[in-house]
Order: sequence, then structure tokens, then C-alpha cells
Amino acid sequence: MNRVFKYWLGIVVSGLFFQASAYGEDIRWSGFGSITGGFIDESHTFRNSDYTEDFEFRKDSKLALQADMDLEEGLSATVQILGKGVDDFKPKLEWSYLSYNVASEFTLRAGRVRVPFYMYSDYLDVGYAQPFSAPPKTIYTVPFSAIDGLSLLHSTYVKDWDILTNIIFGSVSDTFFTTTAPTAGKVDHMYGINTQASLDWLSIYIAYFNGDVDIPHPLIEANADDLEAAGASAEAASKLRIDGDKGTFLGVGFTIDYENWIINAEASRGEIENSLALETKQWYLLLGYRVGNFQPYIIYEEVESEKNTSTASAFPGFLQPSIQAAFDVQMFEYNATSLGLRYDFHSSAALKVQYTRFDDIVDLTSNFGTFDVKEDLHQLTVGVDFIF
Amino acid sequence: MKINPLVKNLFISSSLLGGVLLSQTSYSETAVIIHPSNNIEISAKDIQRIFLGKSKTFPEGKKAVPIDQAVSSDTREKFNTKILKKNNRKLKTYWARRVFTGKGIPPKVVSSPEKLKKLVENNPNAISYVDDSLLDETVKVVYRF
Repeated sequence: MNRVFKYWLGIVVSGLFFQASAYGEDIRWSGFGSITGGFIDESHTFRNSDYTEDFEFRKDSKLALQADMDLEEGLSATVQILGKGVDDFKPKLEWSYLSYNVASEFTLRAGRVRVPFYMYSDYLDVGYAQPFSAPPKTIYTVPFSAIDGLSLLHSTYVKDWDILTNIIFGSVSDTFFTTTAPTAGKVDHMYGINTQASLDWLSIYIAYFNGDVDIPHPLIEANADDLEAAGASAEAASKLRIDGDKGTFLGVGFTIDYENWIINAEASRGEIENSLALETKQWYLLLGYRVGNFQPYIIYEEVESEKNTSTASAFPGFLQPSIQAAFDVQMFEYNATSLGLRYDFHSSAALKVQYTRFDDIVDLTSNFGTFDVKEDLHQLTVGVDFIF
Repeated sequence: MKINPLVKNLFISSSLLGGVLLSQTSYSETAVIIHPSNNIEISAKDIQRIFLGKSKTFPEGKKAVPIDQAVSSDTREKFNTKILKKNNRKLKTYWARRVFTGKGIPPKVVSSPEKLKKLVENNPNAISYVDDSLLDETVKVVYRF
């Protein structure tokens, strides 16, 4: 799926909507939004929060409008426009796809579809549908959330278990590393599966994704170019570049919603082979308890990168130290503990307050690899999530 | 032993009266209804899956169109608790997740139970639920609770 296809699919779907509204056909409008603000205690070199010392509302605030149209014969169209506070609420087409009931258990969706990496990936922006203020950062930091392609949904059940499977195929062109070094890149031939089995009170899933990643990150490119200049072969230097290398992701998780208790846990690992990117492992656990319209909760999360010692050994001896250093300087590890409260003050809106303490274990990059300072960071966020 | 005839009469009358009163206060059931031409067998689990959008068809494959009562309806609350096994808040979150991820939209809502019954009478794919006081031979009952 390329840009031209996506562009025209957007035109076709939008055209269908205009035509339908002209004929007065059934369009179901809905939407959601978040007005969230936050601040941190003091600026650190350990940057694990997007907030600053000054309380501000824009970072996590957003507003979305969605239109669903039934085109009969099992075909439907969905369009979602999302405006984010960080982009001055500029409306962007978030979803635009056609959905077709291939058979009673299968639904095929074509267009821009979300990649179901995690439990909440599908509805990442819908704060109202999530227990926490924001999805745990350690886990929910995949560089992209949607692809242009196909998603095949299969819904069935075995005894009391509902089994929902989502198989995706497609590609995505986007700007990656937007906060540190915005780089245009793409992920091609991406395919994967997320299978979820649920009872009334329990839901578990497993997810696997695979794609060819091509992101010419300026620092990595500079490193690779230097190595070639120093005598390494292009093939060897390619072992550092993210140039069509296989990226894989594996994740598992469960959620228990039993009486007044809510327990969520998710874990994952991701890597891009033959590149300077380090493999990372992350997980979190959430425990919440509902008392009337209040739901206090606590979250503990961890993330760490894996040391890479094998790639450097593929280079000539005199280059090995600097290559190993290029890998090691990226090492990071931190954990975070959060305490929060969700208050459903209205049937369609919830107030959330969350305090998070980030604990820096290893963070060489922010200190330019010179020394490793153990830091901590305190963050407070307050917001209202709503749907309509 | 001879019972005073007056006492005997009173006893019989009060029993009868009690019996009548008892049947008046017996709790009403809710019935899940479909079109009379629809010959299917359906379990509570099947009904749950249809109303939660997990299945778009009846067990044997025919398209199913679920219709809900108004959110404020007691019958609907009973249906949500007994069949869907979700309270209002959980149901709202459930649908928020499905709608905003394009997995489906909630069933159509019809506030008037009479109108709702008429819809089921006229649509071979419809499935809904009403208090059994509204039942007649124009709709078929497939489940009671």
C-alpha cells in the first residue's frame, strides 16, 4: 500500500460520506477527547516525561470526530479525524477505511488500520476507555501505531471463551524519532497477528509482528559512514544501518475485570536485527479497585535495553572498540511507579489525576556516555477524558 | 369435627383471594423475541454475542439485527445484567473501545417497547427483548429470563 493508494482511498471514502449525507442516509457520528495537563518537578537530563516544570495543557490533549456509515450488503465505511494539542489541534485523518463482512466470522478492513501491538493500542487515544491517565510509557512507545494496508478480523468462540484474532498486512511511511532526530523512514512488508481470548472477567492476548525497517537515522548513518571511511566494508557498515532490516515484536498481556478489581499486565520485547538499535524488553502491572464512581490505581513499569556484544566482533579488530561504544552509549533502563485516581463524575466523562515517579537506572545517552547519574523525576498529570 | 359453615366460607374465600393476589404479584419475565418465521434455536451466549456485536448472525448463519431498549429502561438493565453480564459503565467502555477502533457500533435503540415489538414483527432478521406482558402471537419467544 503506498501513499497514492492511501490518498485515493481517503478521497473515495470521504466522497461516499458526502454523497450519503446528501441523500440523508444513516451516518453515525461519535467522538472522544481529552483535556490533560501536567508538569514535572524539575528539568533533568533524564528525560522521560514530555512535560516541563510549567503546568501546560497541550501535550496529551486531543479531540476526535468519527463517522460510521453502513453501506449495506456488509460494507461499511469509517472515518476518524483527530486533532492533537501538540499539533494545535490541527485535524488529521486518523482512520479512513472500508470494512467488509466477508463471511459471518470474518471482517476485512482496508485503508489505514491500527497495529494491535498491545491491549490498548487499538484505542490509544481514547482516554475514557482506559483506566490510567496515559498508557504506561515504558510499554506504549512503539514508533508508529498504524499502517496502510489490510486488517482481517476473525471472531469466534469456544465454550465460554470469545476469541478475536486480528491479522494485519501492510506498510507505513512516517517520520520517526520526532522528539530527538526527526527522520523520514518506512516499515515495509509488515505482517502480524494479535489473538485475544476472553471470558466475562478475563482477557489474555499474544501478539507478534514482523516488518522490514528502513530508517536512515542521522546519527546511525554518520556512524556507519565514518566506519566505511575508516576501512570497514559497506556490507559491514550495513550491520549498523537500519536499512531494510527485520524488525520483530512479541507481546503478551492479560486484564482481569472482576467485581471491583482490575488487574492489567503487559510485557513485550522488540528488536531490529543487523542495526545499531538495541533490543528492548518492557513490562508493567496495574492494580485498581473500584469504589462507587472512584477507581484508585497503582502502576509499576520497567524497561531496559539489552547489551549487544556480537555485532562489534564482526568488524576488524581496530574498529571493534568504537563500534562497541556506539552500542553501549545507547543503553538505558528505568522503572516508574504511579499512583492515580479515576473519578467517573458523569456517565460519559472521567476525571483522572496521576502522580508518577520515574527512577533512572541506566541512562548513558542523556549524559553523552560520560557517566551514569542515577536520577529520579516526579510528574503529575490532571485531565478529563470524555466520549460523545 | 364440624366447622362452622361461616368460618369455612371465609377460609375458602380468603384462600381464593390469596391465590388471586399471589398471581398478580408474581414477577414478570422478560422475553427475547424474533420474527415468527425465524426457526432457530438460540442460547443466552448466542444472544450475548449478537448484542455485543461479536456475532453478526444467528447460530445457523442468518443475519441478525439486534435492537436495544432505551438506556433508562428497567427491562434493558435486567437484560444487561442477566444476558450481557455487564453494568452500564462496563458496557459504555466496551462500546467506546469497539466504536473508536472500527470494530462495530452498538445496536439500534428504540425507546418505545411497542414500536420495538412492531419492528421485530416486520423484520425477519430482528432480535430484541420485551416484558412478557407485551407478548402476543405476532412475535416468537426464543428465550426467557
